[in-house]
Formats: sequence, C-alpha cells, structure tokens
Amino acid sequence: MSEKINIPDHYRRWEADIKIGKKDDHVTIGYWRDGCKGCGICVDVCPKKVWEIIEAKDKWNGQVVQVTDASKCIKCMLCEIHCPDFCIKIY
Amino acid sequence: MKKSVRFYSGAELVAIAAVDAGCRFFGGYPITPSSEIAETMSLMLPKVGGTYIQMEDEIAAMGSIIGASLAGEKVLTATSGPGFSLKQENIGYAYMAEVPCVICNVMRGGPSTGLPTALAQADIMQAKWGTHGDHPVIALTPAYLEEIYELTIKAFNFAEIYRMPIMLLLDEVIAHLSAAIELPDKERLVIKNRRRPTVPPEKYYPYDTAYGDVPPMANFFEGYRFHVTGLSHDKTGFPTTDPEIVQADQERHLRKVNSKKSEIVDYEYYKMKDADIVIFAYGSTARAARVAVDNARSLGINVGMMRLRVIWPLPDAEILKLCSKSKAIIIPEMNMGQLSEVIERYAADRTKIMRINHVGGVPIHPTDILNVIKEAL
Amino acid sequence: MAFEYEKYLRMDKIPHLWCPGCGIGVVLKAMLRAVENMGWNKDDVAFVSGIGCTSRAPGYIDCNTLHTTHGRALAFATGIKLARPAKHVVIFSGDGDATAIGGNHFIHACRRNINMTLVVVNNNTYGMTGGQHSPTTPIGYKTSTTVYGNIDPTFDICMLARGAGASYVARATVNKGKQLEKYITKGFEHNGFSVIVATANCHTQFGRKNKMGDPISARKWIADREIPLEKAREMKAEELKDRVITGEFITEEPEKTRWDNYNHPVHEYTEAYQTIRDKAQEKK
Ligand SMILES: Cc1ncc(C[n+]2csc(CCOP(=O)(O)OP(=O)(O)O)c2C)c(N)n1
Ligand code: SF4
Ligand code: SF4
Ligand code: SF4
Ligand SMILES: [Mg+2]
Repeated sequence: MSEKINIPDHYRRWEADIKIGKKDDHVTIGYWRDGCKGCGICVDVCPKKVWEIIEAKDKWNGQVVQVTDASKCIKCMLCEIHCPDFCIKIY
Repeated sequence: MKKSVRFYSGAELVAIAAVDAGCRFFGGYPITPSSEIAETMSLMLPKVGGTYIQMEDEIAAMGSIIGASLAGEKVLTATSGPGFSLKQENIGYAYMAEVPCVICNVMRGGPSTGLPTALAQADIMQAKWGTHGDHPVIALTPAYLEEIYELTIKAFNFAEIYRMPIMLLLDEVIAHLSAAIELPDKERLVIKNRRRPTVPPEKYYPYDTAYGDVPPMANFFEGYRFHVTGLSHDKTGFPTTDPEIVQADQERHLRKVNSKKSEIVDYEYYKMKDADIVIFAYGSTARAARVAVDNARSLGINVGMMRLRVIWPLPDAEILKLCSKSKAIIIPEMNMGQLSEVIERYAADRTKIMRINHVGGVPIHPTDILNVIKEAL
Repeated sequence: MAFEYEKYLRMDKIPHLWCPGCGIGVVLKAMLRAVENMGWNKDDVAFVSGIGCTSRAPGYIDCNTLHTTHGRALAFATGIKLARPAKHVVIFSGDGDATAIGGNHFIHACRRNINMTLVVVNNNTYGMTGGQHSPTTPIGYKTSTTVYGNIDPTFDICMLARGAGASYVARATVNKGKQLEKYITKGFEHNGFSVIVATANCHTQFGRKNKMGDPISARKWIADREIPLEKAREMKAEELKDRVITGEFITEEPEKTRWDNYNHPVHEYTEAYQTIRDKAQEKK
C-alpha cells in the first residue's frame, strides 16, 4: 500500500496480511496503552472480534484491551472512530 | 480645525466618545434610562464599519462584548440597574479572563424594577461587589456633560491598559441632560490600545507575568491559538487548582489596580483651601453641592467640596487627610449611604460624617445640603 | 487510513478528563474530522463552549478556544463571529448548557441565523454536577434529582432548533461516528446557523441510575431507541415516544413546498449586517 503509516513509537503495533472481500490487503493496528481507559467500546463495535479486554492492575478500572488476531480485521474503522480516547490507529 | 458645537445629550456623548476611543462593537439590551446609548450606537457603528447588536438579554449582551473583545475590538455595553445585575456573572468572567470592556450603567432606583425613570446613585456598591469573588475595580462617575465625553475616553483607555472591565456610572439626569457642547479636538485625544505580544506564537502565554502585572494580549485568529477560561488558570490560560498559582494570580489581579492607584484616582477640589467643613460628592449630587458651597460661602461659612470623578478606587491618602483636618464631612448620595459607610470607616472617630440620603427619585437640592452645612457648624 | 487527530489536539492535555467510554470523546473526534474535511486553517477557527463535561472539549483543541460561563457560549460566540465574520466559529454545548440555562440564547441564535455551527452533546443529564435531570431527561427515568422517576416533559432539541429558525438541523448518535462527522461537515459547509445534536452516553451519572452504568449498555440503550427520520415520518406520534430520531431535519435546501418550512430564514445575519453598513455609509 502507498499510504504512509504514522504510528508513534510508544504505541503497540499488530500487523497482518488480510483479505477484504477478494482483495489482498495489509493492516497495521496501532494502540496507545497509556491513553486507553479500558472502556471496551472497541471490543463492542468490532464486527470481527479483533479486540479483547485484558486485566491491567495499573489502570483505574483494572482493564485495558489488546488485539487477539489482526488477520481478522476488515479495516472497517469502527474501533478507531468510536474509541473516545484517541488510542487506536488503523492503517 | 472646525470645532463641532451642537446640542448633545449625556447618552449621546457616551456613544460619540466610545466611537472616538475606537469602540467598534456594542452589544446591548434596551432598558430605561440607558436605551439612548444603544440607539446612538446603532446609528453610529455601521457608519464606521463597526457592529451593533441587540441581544436577547443583558447576560447575552455582556457575553457578546467579551467575545468581540477577544476577537480584537474595543467594546461597550450600556444598561441600568436590573440589567447591571444580570450582567454580573459575565462581568466576573471578564475580570477572570482579563478581557478589556466598558460597561456603562445609567443608574436608577432599586432594588428590583424600583424607579425606572427616576434619578438614583443606587449601584455604587454593585459596581464594586456585584459579581462573586475578589477582583479589582475601576468605576468612573462623571458629573457634567463635557466630563462624560472625557471620562468615557478614559474608561476605554483604562480597559485597554489594565485588561479588565471598567464601569462608567451615570446618574439618570446626566444621561438625559442636553446642552451645547464643544467636543475636544480628536487629533489631541490620547487613545490607548492593549499591549500586544512581541513574541512568536510558540513563545506566547496569554497570562505571562514576565511582562508585568498586565500581560500582553493576543487576539483570536492571529496565529496564537490560546485558551481562555473563567476557571482559575496559570500563565498558559489552562485551568489549575494549584493553591500557590491561584493565590499569586488573584494577588496580581488586585495589584494591577492597587499599584497604579495614583494614576487612576481622579478627583476635584472646590474652594477647599480654608474649608473646615467638606462636602464629599460624586455624580449629579456634586452639582447641587457646588451651589450649596457657593451659597454657604456667601454666608461666610468656610466650606469646600471634594468631588470624585473616579469613585473606585478611592483616593485613600486624600480622604484620610480630609478626615483629620475637617470638622465635618457631608456626604450627599442618592442611595442609603453606600459611600458614606465606607468613608465612615476612614474617619473612625476623627471627624463627623453627616449623611444626606435621598432614594425617592427626587434630586438632592442645594438647600438640603446647605441645611446640613449649618447643622455642622 | 487512520485519522491524525494529533494535528488538531493539544496533545499535552491528552488523555482528557472524561470518564472511560464517555460519549463526548466520540463527538469531539467526529468534529475534528469535519474540520479536516473543510480544510480550515487552525488559526481561523474558534471553538466556544459553556460549562459542563461537554464544554471541556475546546481545551483539547489546538485552535482559538474559549470556555465561557454556563449556558452563555452562544452569546460569546455571537460577539466573536460578528466582529470577525470571515472566521469560523463552532460552539460545543451540553444539553443543559444549550437548552436549560442557555435556552434563551439557543432560540435567538437559531432565529438570527448567524453562520456558526452548534454541536450539542445530549447525554440526557447534567453530567458534570452529578447527574441531575435536564430538559432532555426522558419521562420516568431516574436521576439524582428525580429519584422517584422524572415527570418533566422533554425538549426535542432538533424540533426546537427548527422552530426557532436554524437553517441546518441534524441528529446522529455516538454509535454512528461517521454519520455524526457527515452532519457536522454539512453544518460547517452550510451558510447559516446549523445545529447538530449528538445523542451521547453518560453512563457514569445517568446510566448508573438507570441500570446501564457501563458505556456498552448505555450506548445500546441509545441504539435501541434510534429511529431514522425516514422511518419516523411513517410512524404515529405515540410510537415515537422516548425514541431518538436521527437524520437531517432541515437542510440547505428545505422542501419549500412543505407548509411547515415557512419559517426558514431569509438571510444569513453577518451578510445582512453588511448591507446595513453599506446603507449607513451611503448616507454619510
Ligand atoms: C450559573 C451556573 N449555574 C450552575 C452551574 C453548575 N453546573 C455546572 S455544569 C452544569 C450542568 C451541565 O450539564 P450539561 O450542560 O448537560 O453538560 P454535561 O456535563 O452533561 O456535558 C451545571 C448545572 C454553573 N456552573 N453555573
Ligand atoms: S477496523 Fe474494524 S474489523 Fe478492524 S479491528 Fe477495527 S473494528 Fe475490528
Ligand atoms: S475504545 Fe479506546 S479507550 Fe476504550 S478500551 Fe478500546 S482502546 Fe481503550
Ligand atoms: S460524568 Fe458523564 S458526561 Fe461527564 S465525563 Fe463522565 S460519562 Fe462523560
Ligand atoms: Mg448533559
């Protein structure tokens, strides 16, 4: 893909080759753990169950999220758009 | 240069002086007896490329002028008692956010709707303590038509110099009085403008005390992209609850005016040289007092007058001097003694304070004052 | 491709102070994407707000930002816009801010039709002060001041805006960030006063008292009640009780044939005021 990936270094990253419909594609998911408040909205809105909640003792409500399997992502952008805390970047 | 002599009312003079001072935005809401100021502004401002807007209430009027001031305009609103009350929360905002603006209050009797068309000096204390919290205050009280022009210009200059709301307090009679007035030469007016930042945006802080107690002020849309809030804030303009910063900031606000008192206080002595009885007055009651002084003098009584052109802040040193050297201080007011109460504290027991308080809407007559002068003998 | 919110944010202020999952962040993001869609220069935009959780948003945006007094944002904004008509003025307000204490300013801003955009985050409550009932709290719901259930009838903010003369009015929910972005963009493009209502979750204050104390169930509560305008048009009034009607209520081109559009504004205010200046200067 020609698009420039602009994910800051302090973000976690997951990458996978994916298929959107019949087209081959590649996804890079960036996630800012420090900013994440563990609200779970990304988990809820993702149609492909890419995200999951995990325990995080250092967080106010005891949880954050992580990507389970980036290869399931269809780049619908729903998680990025609905994260209230600017923590997700999908390329 | 051709001098313009014609009949002006006090209200018109406020508007004309405002425009001459560079005011280009007026937000108001009609209320007797201040509406003539709004009417004149609605006529004049579009001619000079400015903007007049009648808002939905005085709260909105006050908000609109703060917005326009932040965008870079010199701004005015005019109102009267009840409207002055409504404006108070946003006046406090302008103190907190340090936004220059002028609020003209043509005073009427209160509380509540009170005496809408009658003379009063009812808002002397509201001008000082109307909004919640501590803040500096500058309030001007013209007594003559020429003085309305002069002090309106001064009010705008103060607003710009000190980055704060300035109160212009008019008595109803003065606002409605008309007389042939010669306006001063416009070229000779001294007009002040807010101090502008000299640093590039990345080095700019809206409340940077490195430049003194009155920080330079950028306008919106000039590349500075700063934040303004009514919450206690630090030099960056963003909220803080740090007790030291909040304390220092409040102290600075008060210092803006307190440290410049000698440049702000403004009063006039009349036949004071050998006076041992002093009339202490402001606004329209000073006009009656002046006549009373003349009449008493013709009876051989040594009486004089000290008249405040700026009522807040008070000229402390002069008042203290007055208290220690005069036999009596007579304070005529069209309220129940709002200023007298303050002066009584200055006097302690050193002199006698004699009050004349009219709140029925009827002006204080020179004879009313003369009678008290005789009592003081 | 990911959106670079950093371009429009004061990153040193992020993470923001809103609760985990609060709907306001979703609306703020939609608004920033709309700014990008417009290609506006950041120096030319002012964001103005009142007081409330919602009203904290401008502090995070790297533009000219003004956090005013409760309910009065539109009054301040009106002064800014009239003083600088060529600049862009956007107001961000809560339901209480915009329609309770600021209700008077709201209807009059709509009536004047000044070219500004108001985004109202309607979370059906006073979030910041602890979840008291607001003019949009549905009947029967519990809040900290309606512990026996709310009896106060509600405003429909879109209908209110439309009746008062706003010339672009739309509503979307926080479940549909893209739709929000589209409507806010259209509001920005529109030459006149535009109102976009974002129905949002305040699970912390409102949700907690109504068995939806987490963001997911509070967002679901909104989703379950959503009805698109096209569908609503075919429904009976009683079926629409307590529903969230989404869509465009008044657009750039109102259906002139519909009787209830007779109130549509005749001009944009700052343009009209310029004609006043022209007249005044002719006479000089
Ligand atoms: C004059 C005044 N009255 C009351 C308040 C207290 N107050 C602060 S925010 C708020 C309500 C906010 O509700 P809303 O506008 O819906 O915003 P939200 O917090 O829900 O986003 C109130 C009543 C205030 N700040 N000022
Ligand atoms: S882009 Fe869509 S599919 Fe991919 S992780 Fe996000 S929500 Fe899931
Ligand atoms: S939506 Fe954002 S803040 Fe919420 S859990 Fe997911 S990444 Fe974290
Ligand atoms: S109290 Fe409600 S509105 Fe305020 S931040 Fe929390 S969830 Fe959002
Ligand atoms: Mg609310």
